[in-house]
Amino acid sequence: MQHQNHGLMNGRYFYILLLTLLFAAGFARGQRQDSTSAVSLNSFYLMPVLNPWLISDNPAGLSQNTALRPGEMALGFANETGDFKHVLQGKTIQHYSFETKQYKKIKKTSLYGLFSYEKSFEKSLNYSEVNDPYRVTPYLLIDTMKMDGNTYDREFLKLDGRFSTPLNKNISWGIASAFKVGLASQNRDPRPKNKVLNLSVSPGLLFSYSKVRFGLNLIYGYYNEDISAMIVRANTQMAFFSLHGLGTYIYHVTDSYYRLYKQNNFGFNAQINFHSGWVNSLTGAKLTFSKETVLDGRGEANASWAHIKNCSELQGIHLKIYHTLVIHRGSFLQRFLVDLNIRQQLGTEIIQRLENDPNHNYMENWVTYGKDQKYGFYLLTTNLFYRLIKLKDNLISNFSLDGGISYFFSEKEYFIPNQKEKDKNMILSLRFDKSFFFNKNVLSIMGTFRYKRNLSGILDMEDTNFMVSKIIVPDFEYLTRNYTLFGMGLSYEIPLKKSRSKYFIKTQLEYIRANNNSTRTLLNVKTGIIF
Amino acid sequence: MIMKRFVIGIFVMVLFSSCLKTPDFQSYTVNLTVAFDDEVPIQERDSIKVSLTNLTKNYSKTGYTDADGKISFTNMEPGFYSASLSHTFVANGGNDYLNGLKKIDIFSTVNDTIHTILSKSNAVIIKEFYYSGCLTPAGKYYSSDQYIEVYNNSATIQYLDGMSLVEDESYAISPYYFSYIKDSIVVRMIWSFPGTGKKYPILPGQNIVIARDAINHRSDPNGNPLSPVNLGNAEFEFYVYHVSGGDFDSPTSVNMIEDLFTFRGSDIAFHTRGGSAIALVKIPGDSAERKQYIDNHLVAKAGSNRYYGIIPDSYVIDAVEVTWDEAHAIYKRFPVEIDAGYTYVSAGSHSGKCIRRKVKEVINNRFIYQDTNNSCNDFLKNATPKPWVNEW
Repeated sequence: MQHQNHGLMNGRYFYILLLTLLFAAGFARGQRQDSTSAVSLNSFYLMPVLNPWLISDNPAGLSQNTALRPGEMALGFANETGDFKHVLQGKTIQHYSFETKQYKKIKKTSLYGLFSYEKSFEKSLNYSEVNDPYRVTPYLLIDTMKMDGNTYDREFLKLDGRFSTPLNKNISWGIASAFKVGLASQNRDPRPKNKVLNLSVSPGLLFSYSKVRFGLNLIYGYYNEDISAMIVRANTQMAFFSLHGLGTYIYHVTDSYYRLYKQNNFGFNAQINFHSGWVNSLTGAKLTFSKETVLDGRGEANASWAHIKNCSELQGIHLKIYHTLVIHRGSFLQRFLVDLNIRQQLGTEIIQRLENDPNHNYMENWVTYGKDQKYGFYLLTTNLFYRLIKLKDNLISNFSLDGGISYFFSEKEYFIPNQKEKDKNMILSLRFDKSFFFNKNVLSIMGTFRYKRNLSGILDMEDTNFMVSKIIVPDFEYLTRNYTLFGMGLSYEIPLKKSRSKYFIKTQLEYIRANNNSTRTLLNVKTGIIF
Repeated sequence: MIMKRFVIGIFVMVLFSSCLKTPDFQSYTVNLTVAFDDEVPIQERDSIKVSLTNLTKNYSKTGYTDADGKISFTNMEPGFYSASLSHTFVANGGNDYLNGLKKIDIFSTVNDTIHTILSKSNAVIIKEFYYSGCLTPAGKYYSSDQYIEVYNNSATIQYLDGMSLVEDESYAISPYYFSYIKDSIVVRMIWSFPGTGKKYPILPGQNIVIARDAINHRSDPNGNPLSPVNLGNAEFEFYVYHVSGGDFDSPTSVNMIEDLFTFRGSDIAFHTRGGSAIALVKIPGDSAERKQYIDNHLVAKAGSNRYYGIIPDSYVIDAVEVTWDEAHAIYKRFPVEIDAGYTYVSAGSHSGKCIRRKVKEVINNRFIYQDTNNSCNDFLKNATPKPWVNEW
């Protein structure tokens, strides 16, 4: 077959990668400390409160950063374990990371760069052949293997670079680009190997008129996942299931399978900002369109369709409207954040048959007979968050309190057979963080509480089969479970001599208990330097 | 003013978003009419079960004809389908079988007719066909243990003398090349039972195994301990003679007569994935006349010097249409007159599984196997090979 994982270095992607590398590399080099404020572990937490433009993805908004420009270099470890999980999620996940990131300002140019390396082991993962089965697509590739010893081994690299610089007194411009690439593989038969590429680029403008600012940025993103699944055991064939949504599928028995996901998305984000005295508000709307295609193929000695086959197309639209209001009076910062997300997807199946095509010298070829829109997905989420921060001095947080309420409405439909899944959920969340200062050392404690309540859930399946009983029903039960989350965290910061940098260690533990007594425990440990 | 326009803009976008359409899926109605032979009694034309199978997604919808033989399927998604019917009724003291099969592409409303074939059960039938092969302990292919089992499904003694086992020319992975040859099947192998009349009887309820290699595959040094069968007692064997040897020749099994072997190699081999459609046929005359008939009825593909045999449908005693899988059933080769359906080992190649006829009933300890002339209904798809064994 013609393997269609187009080289990463091709054309436009090379330039986007180069741009990202240049941005990110500029920060990795330890340039002079330009932050005029002391930094702490909470500095990154403070950044979007002090500069509301950061909740938009307009890179030109970096120009509105305050004097606080923190940096961080850290090693991280996370462990997640328990039965309360999606059905296509591993029972345990161990995650190791190295990450460095920093906000900077060089003359009049504001910059942000991030580099991260992640290695993770997801264990006892069943069925899934895709890197992220919850990437909001119904067109998954799975098999029937359920093995406790199975591990999804992942290795990812991420670069993210942004800058903003003034064009004149009233206009700033900027570009953001991010690049994430990785490999994932499993140690069982069938043995999928996933090559994942995700990149984005976004140029933006910001216009200032007195106390009002307008922003506009364009968005382009590309996602590519190339799956090559082989059966290592000699002369063995297994069933690969190509899912079409809500338990519908077709399957192929073969000893190898190739799949290529390609998604392009584009859109724009418009913002308006009002900043006067102690009030700083930002309102924005983001609209993106996406199209994802799935190509299938397989290579066999006696291949009946070693050729590329079109499986499906998924078109999506995502609208996000957001508003944040920040009130900064004295040592108190208050932020109100409300957003509304509407996402819709339409999935189209491509009906093809392998034929001796007279238009191609009677070579076997997949001939398209029709396209049929069969799948629909609608997701509405809305969030209301409040954050109160008491500053100690010089932009160091003394304590903070967060409260929020989120509402989710999700609806999936498949037609012929008529399958429907609908659920409504609500989440209440609370968080506090308090720092204790011992000379220059800082001890912080943190507590989290979250309660999820299912408001309704309907699973209406005209056709029941293996997929419905093994995947759709367990996932629906997971999505409609009520749960309670308790979390606590502890961190300690020690200043380094002759520097404003600090060494820190931070640990956080979260425990989730669902109403069927299943649990999930998440442990995070992070240590490094903030500067 | 600016703020007002901005808010209006957002509102327009929300409206736009909420107006997004739901999936614009297509569904069609399929109106089928079953065309009956005059021999089919009027009272048997009502309530005949018809199945419409989506060949890509491997699911079926079923319904029953009305008194006029009409049936409608509504709300069908577009795609490639096969419509089939299989009906049994008692006439003149015996069972008659009514079969019909039709490929249907549904991309608009369909009005079509299914023609039916009326047949009676055969005396000698293909009971079991093990073609998938298995794996050795080292994970290598092993298919030397392939075999065909025939069975006397009648209450009277039958004779195998002069009957032949044939394999269709095509493996059904692309449209059938010889579809222009009507009322016949085109074969790549013809292997005949020796004997001139009554040398090789097959008693009522008796199984006869024709092995690719008649050895105990489990214990023979050249065998495979993971093979599911011991074929050391096979009555017949496909032996491919070469001066230099090559194929194993069992001293205890009778060799079949090689009348045609288009792709002659060191041994015969059935397609382990499926695709070897086989039939039991009787070409009239003695062995010389049979040979002469075959030589006079050969056909080649354009540009090729390989010749295949043409066997009229009327010579076919029993046939089993074997495909790779459901999707490849669109390339079915045998006409509905000799097999209205198809079957396959869904466990796949080298699974150690076979297709075996379903038991219809047991009369006085004699097993009667189902023979409705429709392999979709008549065969179990993933049976464990058990030559010479009759069991429910």
